[in-house]
Amino acid sequence: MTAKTMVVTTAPKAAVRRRMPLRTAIGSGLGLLVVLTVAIGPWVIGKDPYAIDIANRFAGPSAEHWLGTDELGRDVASRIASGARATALIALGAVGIATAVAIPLGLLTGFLGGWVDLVVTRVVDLFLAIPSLLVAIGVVGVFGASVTTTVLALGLSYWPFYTRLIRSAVVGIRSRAYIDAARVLGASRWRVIRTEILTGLAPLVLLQTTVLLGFAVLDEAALGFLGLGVQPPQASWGSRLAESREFILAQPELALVAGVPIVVAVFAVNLLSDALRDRLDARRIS
Amino acid sequence: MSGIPLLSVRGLGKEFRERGFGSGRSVVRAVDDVSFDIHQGETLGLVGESGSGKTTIGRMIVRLEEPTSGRIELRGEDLRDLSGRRLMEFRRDVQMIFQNTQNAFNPRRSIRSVLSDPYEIHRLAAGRELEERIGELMRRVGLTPEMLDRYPQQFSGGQRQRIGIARALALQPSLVIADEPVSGLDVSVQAQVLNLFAGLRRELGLAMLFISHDLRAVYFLCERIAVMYLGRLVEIGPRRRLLENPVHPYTRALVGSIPAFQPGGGFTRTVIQGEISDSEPTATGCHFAPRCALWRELGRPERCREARPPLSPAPGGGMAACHFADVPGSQAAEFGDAAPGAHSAVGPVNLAARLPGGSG
Repeated sequence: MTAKTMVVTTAPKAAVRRRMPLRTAIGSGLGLLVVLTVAIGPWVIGKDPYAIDIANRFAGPSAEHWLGTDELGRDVASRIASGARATALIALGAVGIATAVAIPLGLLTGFLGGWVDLVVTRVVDLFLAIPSLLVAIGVVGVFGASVTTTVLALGLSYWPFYTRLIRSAVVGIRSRAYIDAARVLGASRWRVIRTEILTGLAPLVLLQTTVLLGFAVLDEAALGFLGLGVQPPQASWGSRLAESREFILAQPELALVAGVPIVVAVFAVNLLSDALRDRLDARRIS
Repeated sequence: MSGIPLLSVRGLGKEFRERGFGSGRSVVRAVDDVSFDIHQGETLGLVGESGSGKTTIGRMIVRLEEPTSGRIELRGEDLRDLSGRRLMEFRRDVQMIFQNTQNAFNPRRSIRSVLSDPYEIHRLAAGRELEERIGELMRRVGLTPEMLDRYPQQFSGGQRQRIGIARALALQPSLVIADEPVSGLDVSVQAQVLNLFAGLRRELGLAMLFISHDLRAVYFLCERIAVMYLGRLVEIGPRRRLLENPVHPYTRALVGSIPAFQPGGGFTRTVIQGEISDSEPTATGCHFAPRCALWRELGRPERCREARPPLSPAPGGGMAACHFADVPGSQAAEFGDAAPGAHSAVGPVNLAARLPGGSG
């Protein structure tokens, strides 16, 4: 019997170029709008968001005030633009905290298993049992309402389920034969985590981060609306919403203008994370 | 074969305990007092049904699993004592090939990255030399260096198994544990991969533990064969003796279960009655007794239920664990029920009709 072997080689298929889906196009467009507002909005509008002009209160849109003025005669457009910065900061900060806690904890519990897993997972369950709004009220109650406490409150309410998510993903990856293969080759625990587990986790983290950013924008607005978030007169999307609430019957367009950016931002993030999910699907790597 | 064996397994046992706390958890004895040797350059086939504990033995040898009892020695050195630098030397000496080729590779890493692992972990090569070594590895298993930048899912199962073999060979081990390396592959591809194994063994002088449930693959590749049933070794011996004159009723049934074509059309095979789960793993007695044709034939002797049969020398070489291994007439006894439409007289196992005619 001859040990002759032959292998048929196949050339990789050239990637089929496809038109960008409508969803991705809209998502990128809206996302770009939000990013531009945060980055250069206040500079383009060029108005002081805190300058009060009582004589000009509730003025409609004009060349002077693009989106009109609010109950104190402040320029609404520039308040939304500078509020976007506060909101973006809060969202990024909260998601950053949640991610920074969830990844190490998820790796620890999922990879090590045993009693560490048991103890930490119970603690996580405990936190999951507390409604996030209650956590936020608690944090604000202790530290007082501000940008920092909003970041803290949101971060604290996101980390438990994020940790669970990471943990279950790690458990799924850990049982793969390629983890065994790495161990048999003599890879250290740290190397296994770095080369095998984090590579598998990266798409999930990227995706979850974008989804959470959307939630954070929404929750910042909710906290602001309840008076637990950023406090007026400081501008944020949440506090803008809170300010407009008092005049919702007399001047509903103010609340509408305050709400639209939130809707746009969340919509953009959701569309983009959908597109991202499709792109990161391992089966489509080529 | 003389001198100190490369691998020596003595009284190996592994118990799995149900998850949780406390003492009320049930214990499964996956491997029960198993002993065997593998010599330099020798291939031992380990066969048995799913759940017979053969994979667990392989995983204990590469230290993916901790034995509950017993000893594993490589060149006379107990594996449990290994740590640090010695453990890394052991890793270079013993490698493993996995069954499931889809799970054996991280889908997010290119083959180049995967095959660089052994050299990076053991700091054996870097830069241009690494590149050359990986390319050489690919050619050795019948692939080309041009495929290095592809991802695992862009290969067929057979190609992936070749890459698995390349990964195991990178460290130039003296012993390879191959855990059902061809059972996930198409039959046509199985032959190619088996040929590759045979060639590599010859060229590199590898010793191998070839875990499989496919007797034909084992017959083709292995000098000796060990048969497991429910965690215990029931028979071990030279391949030809074991397959042509099986002593243990279970081995006989296994050999008889290979379908054989009859010259006049149709085929025969014997079917073992019952499932492996019908056998209760008892501390005493023979695990196979509830399904054993010989046991029924002999009028269900109590001895098989009460005393665990020890491995004792079998005629023609090797060992078998059966109280009635030497009962005259049992050699020609018919086992199990003949498959529907089969000839009634199976007689002595007709190997020529059942196994490939290779001489290895």
